[in-house]
Amino acid sequence: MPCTALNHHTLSLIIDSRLEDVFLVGLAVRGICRQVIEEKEVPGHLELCVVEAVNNAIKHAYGGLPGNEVRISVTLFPDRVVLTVSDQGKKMAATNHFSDREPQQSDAMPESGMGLFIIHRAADQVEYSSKDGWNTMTMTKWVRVTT
Amino acid sequence: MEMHSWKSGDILVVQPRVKRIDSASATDFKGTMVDFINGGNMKIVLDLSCVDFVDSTGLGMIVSTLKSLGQDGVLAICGLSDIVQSLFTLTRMSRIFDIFASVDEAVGKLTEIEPHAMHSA
Repeated sequence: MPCTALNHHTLSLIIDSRLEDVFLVGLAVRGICRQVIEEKEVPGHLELCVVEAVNNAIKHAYGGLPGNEVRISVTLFPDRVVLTVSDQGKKMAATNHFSDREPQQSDAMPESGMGLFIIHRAADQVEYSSKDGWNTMTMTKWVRVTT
Repeated sequence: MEMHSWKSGDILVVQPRVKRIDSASATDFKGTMVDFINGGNMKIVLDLSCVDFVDSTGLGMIVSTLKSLGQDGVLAICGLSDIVQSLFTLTRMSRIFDIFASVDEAVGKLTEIEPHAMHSA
């Protein structure tokens, strides 16, 4: 079916579930967003979102094992950027979809488990779904995009 | 991980010579910092001016360094890029760490105060 009234542009990426390769996704997202978003801090926030989501997929969904596929998409709309990160591993527990832990004092500072907190702080909207064997985290940032 | 370090009085300045402290490299970073602390360095300035990205795992290792120093040590951070500053702000770690613009400023601060007074200053 032909696509009509196209008002968005999408880049799709696939990496193997290796933490050593996550930087490629981060650099790609940052590079694209720096070209199309004027707000200075937003590309960095989006890089944090995608890196943390891919890290979660590799570490938790795939148990840190290489040889599995992580799919990433970056979609630019005139008024928002939508990032998706998908895996075919273990589903995230419902209680972990939103983690709003905030560091308060030295002896309570977390050394791990901050990824979801960062995603929720950096993105405006975060969704998680599982369908047809794929788990997908969708992160939306409402921002003016000029392509 | 390539780490450059030098002494300024009793203060150790540590400068990671990497672009990223992330899930792929954080364990290496932590190991090096633990070695510095075990070597008796209790006043440390972490200069991140070469680093342009830190993820939550990297931040966790910096937190771990602060915890390892305990009440007898101090950790100051300087040279944050915009993205790294964003991470500290988003996680509100900027309220917990002592962050300075430059190595000189951080060293100056650590020189003038006692370790136990740093985090309550």
